[in-house]
Amino acid sequence: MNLDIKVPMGWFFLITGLLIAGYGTLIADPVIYTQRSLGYNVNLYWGIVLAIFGAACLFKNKRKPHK
Amino acid sequence: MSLLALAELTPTKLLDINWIDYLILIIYFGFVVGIGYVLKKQIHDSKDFFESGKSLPSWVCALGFIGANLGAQEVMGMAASGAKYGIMTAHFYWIGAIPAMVFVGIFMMPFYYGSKARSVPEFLRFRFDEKTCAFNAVSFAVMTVFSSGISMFALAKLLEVLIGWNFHVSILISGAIVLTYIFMGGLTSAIYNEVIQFFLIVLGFIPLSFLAIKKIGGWQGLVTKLNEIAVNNGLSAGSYTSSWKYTDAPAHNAMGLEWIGVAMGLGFVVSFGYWCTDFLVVQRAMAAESMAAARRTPIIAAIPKMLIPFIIIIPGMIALALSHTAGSGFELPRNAEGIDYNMTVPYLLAHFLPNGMLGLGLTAMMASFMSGMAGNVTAFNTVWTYDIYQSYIKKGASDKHYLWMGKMATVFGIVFSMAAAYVAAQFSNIMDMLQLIFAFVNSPLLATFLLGMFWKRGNGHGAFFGLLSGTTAAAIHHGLCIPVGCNWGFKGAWLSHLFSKAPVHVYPSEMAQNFWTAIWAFSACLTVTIVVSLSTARNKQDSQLVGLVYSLTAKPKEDSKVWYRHPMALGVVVLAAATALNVLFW
Repeated sequence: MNLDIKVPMGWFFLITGLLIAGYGTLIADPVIYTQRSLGYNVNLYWGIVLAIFGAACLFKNKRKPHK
Repeated sequence: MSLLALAELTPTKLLDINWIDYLILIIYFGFVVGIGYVLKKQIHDSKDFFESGKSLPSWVCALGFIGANLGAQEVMGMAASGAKYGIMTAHFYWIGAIPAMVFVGIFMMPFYYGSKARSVPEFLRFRFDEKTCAFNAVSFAVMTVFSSGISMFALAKLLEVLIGWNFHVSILISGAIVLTYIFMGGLTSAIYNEVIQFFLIVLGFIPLSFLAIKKIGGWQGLVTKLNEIAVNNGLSAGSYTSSWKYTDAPAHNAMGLEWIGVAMGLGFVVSFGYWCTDFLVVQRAMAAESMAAARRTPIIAAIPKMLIPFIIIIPGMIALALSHTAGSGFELPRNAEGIDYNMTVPYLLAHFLPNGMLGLGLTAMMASFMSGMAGNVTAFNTVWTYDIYQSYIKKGASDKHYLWMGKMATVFGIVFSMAAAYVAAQFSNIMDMLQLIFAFVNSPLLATFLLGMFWKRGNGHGAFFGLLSGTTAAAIHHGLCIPVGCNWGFKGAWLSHLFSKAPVHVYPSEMAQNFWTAIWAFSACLTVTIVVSLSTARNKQDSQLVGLVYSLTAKPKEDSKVWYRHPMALGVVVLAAATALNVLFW
């Protein structure tokens, strides 16, 4: 198959991660975090993790071109 | 998940979702359909459509392999079971799935992949005869359509309860999306989406588990709290957090099982039966690019599989602990009958995740329902086209015709699933009954495959009558026993009731009854297959069984130089890790 799964998966997690992290930065209303996620801004932190995962998928695909 | 329990739920809009959550959901749908669209140009023949052109690397097949199994019923069911029974639920993984996955990779995959069979029923035709294949193909095809319908019903019902969506609209949307991506991209599309769904579940649930364990005060806090609850419930302290220690007698643990029932029923018959013979999962490994890759598929899949309890079962256990902690603000969901364990996961999502991450969690749940449907539909279109249509309706047509048929089968597979979803909505007990019958049909299959692959004397008559007897034995056992506290009917004892007798045996839990039903079915099928095979003539000679039976097949060569690409070495490492987990949580 010519479409490597790492490409759509990478873009999906990169976009979603940036979106969630962005939401966490813009809407940093501490109330929703103290009410639910024990005070952590999980949107910001985990959004970054998701984006890094997505970027890693894309990077890995670029470095090792599909045969 | 019991359909009866789902049908009783009333819409409450449990999850308070906003635009960011919807946006994530829409982006996900866009990618799912987009993958199908891109793959469409790469589907040239039926092999591409049904078997991914036998071209996928083993890690992709491996994640598809567990992704197809990690459906919503699994995620919600295992968390529910964690809240109900504690860490003993992990037996489904550490003594159940893992050894079975290693076994199928090392010993059975050479026959599935090497026989050139395109499906599990086709393997039965090569090895035994036409009637055994037809029996398996028809029962499997019916089962996949209904399972897909049940996933669809459960998804629509859940969306109605969680976010107030209209039931009919949910059915239409989920059906249309799954149809679109399978119609265009076939099995590859389904597997790619299973891989993404796998990561969605894992990445969506890690923060949930982290927050939950933090709130309860770490592992030690969880143990202390659960010990307290166990003692209050009349169980041994520690029974929620020990996997084997309290299995000396059924009364000592919440699951109501002793170690022999766990090891034989769950560890052997139920898990091996599912992982080794169910075409839905086996199909993923058969799509691999080579024999070695196909053999590695289930073994690689076992590595993430053994870690799933940490993000699914343990949060379920924490939910139980939190609901008994004053001031935690967390309550386990309730319905008319008491605690509704099935809703544990949505309640945890609602409690811990703020908008944004909540959208990701919701998307993960929807993705797992849809890939549950897609897995069944791709298995259905293959079995329908190859084992029913090509074998009995239209033989010898062009490949283009069968590709067309496969696409049509995808369409009516989805339409039938939708119909099944409405049947479930109307008559949930009919669906519960069907699930029960499928359990009767499935549990003896393992005996048929073991004898087929490892005993060359087994013949077609033996296999067919063995399967029939196994199914009958399962039905009789179920009809004569009942779990404690249940009324006769779907839960059992219907035969006893028919003859106005008391049930022959009362099991301490439903799970114990299920395992013993499977053990009886397996033993009956094994015995009858052996007896009938020995008393009738062989229908295939040694030369016809090469590639199908262990003793007549050359052992696959290990061609790779690095140890971790050898199925056997990889299998040993995986089993050692699973043993370590059993000891760690003893």
